[in-house]
Amino acid sequence: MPEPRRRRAFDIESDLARRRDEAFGSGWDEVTSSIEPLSNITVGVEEITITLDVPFVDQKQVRVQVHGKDILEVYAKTKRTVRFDDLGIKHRSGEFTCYRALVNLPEHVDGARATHHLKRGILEIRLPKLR
Amino acid sequence: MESIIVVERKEIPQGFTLINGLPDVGLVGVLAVSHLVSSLEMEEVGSIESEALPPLVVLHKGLPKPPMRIFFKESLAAIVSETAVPSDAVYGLADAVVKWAVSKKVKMVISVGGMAVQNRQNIEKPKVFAALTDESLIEILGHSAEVLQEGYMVGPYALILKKCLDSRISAVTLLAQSFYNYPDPEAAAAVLESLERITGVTLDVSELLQKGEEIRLKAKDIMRRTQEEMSKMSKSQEYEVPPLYM
Repeated sequence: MPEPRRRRAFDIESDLARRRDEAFGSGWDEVTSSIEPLSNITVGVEEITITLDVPFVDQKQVRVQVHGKDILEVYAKTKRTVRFDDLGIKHRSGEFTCYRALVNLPEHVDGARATHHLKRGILEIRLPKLR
Repeated sequence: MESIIVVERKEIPQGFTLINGLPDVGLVGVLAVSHLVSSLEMEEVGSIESEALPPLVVLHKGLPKPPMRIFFKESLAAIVSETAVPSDAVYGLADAVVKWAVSKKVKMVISVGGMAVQNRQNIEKPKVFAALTDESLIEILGHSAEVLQEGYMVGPYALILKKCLDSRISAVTLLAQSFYNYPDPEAAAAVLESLERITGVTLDVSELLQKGEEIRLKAKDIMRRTQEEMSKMSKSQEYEVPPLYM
């Protein structure tokens, strides 16, 4: 039987983010002024593809990192500070300046060969699998 | 099954065209029909109520509103939902909408939504497809949409289309190529152009395109909840090919 994976700092942080999201709905983190984007993951034969919906982001402001072999961290700074008030959201005040996502990958990947590009506000990250 | 009822708060004359904008793939229906309602300054005339829907109200200008409301102007009525439709409520909702349409002698039911495509970000102008209850509607569509010949439809629109067929109401489901789980205002703009052709109503969709990024952010939370419900109703079956050709 495979040994259960030890919970790492990222797992815990990811869990906390999920719980925050369950509690407040939007995935907004007041401390880091960040918001968790909508995302999608597709597992192919050769690679894992992740897309994230990141309106108001420029390609140059995206940072993608793979920690270990199976944790993806994405940071994408918005072109401007987005206030909830600007979006017509009046019942809570706040703002965010970046998107932040931590993704537990289902398989090991080669982070050094990761590529990403932004088109139509969708960030697509391709992660070749480790053989 | 919890009952679902249509409540008319103002008198709605018979014989209108009914347009549905329910949360689904890419929230195309909600974005498109919300735009239609605000552009035409349609009047709020009723709502759809049920204990099967989430226990919530939506506040607009300080007033509580039911999340699923009916708007009307001249010969058009529109149903828009600001909450995800729970998968358990889909049958009841379709039944209630079509029974109401029958009682109001509706001319045509048009459901507006999205059709997920994997390479959506590479598509400049989303194509619109249509599922119809009868072939005579092809002429009305013209070149504004391509008729879906084979495939599965899953969710409230699938049931509304079938129940309209059973009740002999003309019905069209317009589906624009869209993202699956990201709000897609461009797809909403594309589907509205097809809707213009069918209804004869002229709409300016430029706001949907210009404010696209803002709309996507505002719709993020309802998209997430809609995705959860789509998973429960096996929405991904729409990608599959039916085995029988008859």
